[in-house]
Amino acid sequence: MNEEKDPVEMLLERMRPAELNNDLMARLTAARGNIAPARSRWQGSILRWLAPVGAVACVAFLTVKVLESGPGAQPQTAGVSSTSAAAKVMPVLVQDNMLKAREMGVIVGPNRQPYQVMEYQWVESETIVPGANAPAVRVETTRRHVVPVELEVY
Amino acid sequence: MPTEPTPDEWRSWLRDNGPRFLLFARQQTRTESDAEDILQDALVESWRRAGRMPDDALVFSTIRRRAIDLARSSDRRGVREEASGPAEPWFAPDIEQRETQRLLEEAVKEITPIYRDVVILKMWGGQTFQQIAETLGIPLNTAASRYRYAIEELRESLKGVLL
Repeated sequence: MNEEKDPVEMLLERMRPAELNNDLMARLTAARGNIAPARSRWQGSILRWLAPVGAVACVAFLTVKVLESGPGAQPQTAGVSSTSAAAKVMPVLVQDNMLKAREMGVIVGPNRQPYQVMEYQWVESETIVPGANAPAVRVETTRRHVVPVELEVY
Repeated sequence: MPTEPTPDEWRSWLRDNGPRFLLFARQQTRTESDAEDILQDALVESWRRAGRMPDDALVFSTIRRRAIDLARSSDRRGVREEASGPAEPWFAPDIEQRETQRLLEEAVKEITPIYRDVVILKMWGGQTFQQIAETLGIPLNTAASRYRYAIEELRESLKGVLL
């Protein structure tokens, strides 16, 4: 059976939907990055801090256990000491204390993803026992990291 | 786990299919900016849900659902913006048939909206009546009859002009 086309449909078939304008095309092209499930800002921050903090906590716990069962070496706070004196020995206790976290500004990556640049400062305290009968010495070092944190785009 | 398309794959898919998805999104929203927002969200969501390049039917139904959600949540904003901004052309310009094109576009815009949805999906979306019925949430026979009504409305408005 030869089905004749409706003249109205023939007219419509000659038309094509308008192309996407450049702005919209650029916007949709950038949206490709949203397809994979993105890690949220908090997930990123937690992962960035949880691992080191957890590791430090484990080391601190084990060290305290070792010191408690050892020959009675009592750590004493000696304030900030010279690191050269402690350079030859291994620290027996490491503890980090956060000083500050500061927002420095927002940058936009090549994929148009905005990032909050964060500055973190903390004091790293290492307790060192130079010898079997020597008193423990604590060395404190201020450390600083500047890290980009992915911002969620709505 | 959704697979992110390569940049080339994504651009090529947008270039080939974006225009007809946008045309349908325009039917479902009251402003151009809403249509573009809905389109972007629907494209990303469709890829995520399919885990690969989605079927056209999935994209059209996602556009439809997101537009309904938007209409429910932003009635007042839509009304306020409705009158602002120049109207974007729905169809690609045809240099040789400029006047015919203009008259046809005007006629398509004048079709009763619920009939026009069906024509857009059938003619430029490449959808079957079954798929159209599912996308719009209407019975199959209703989809087919709305298409016929739309063609009749067009025939009436183009009589003596292009026909």
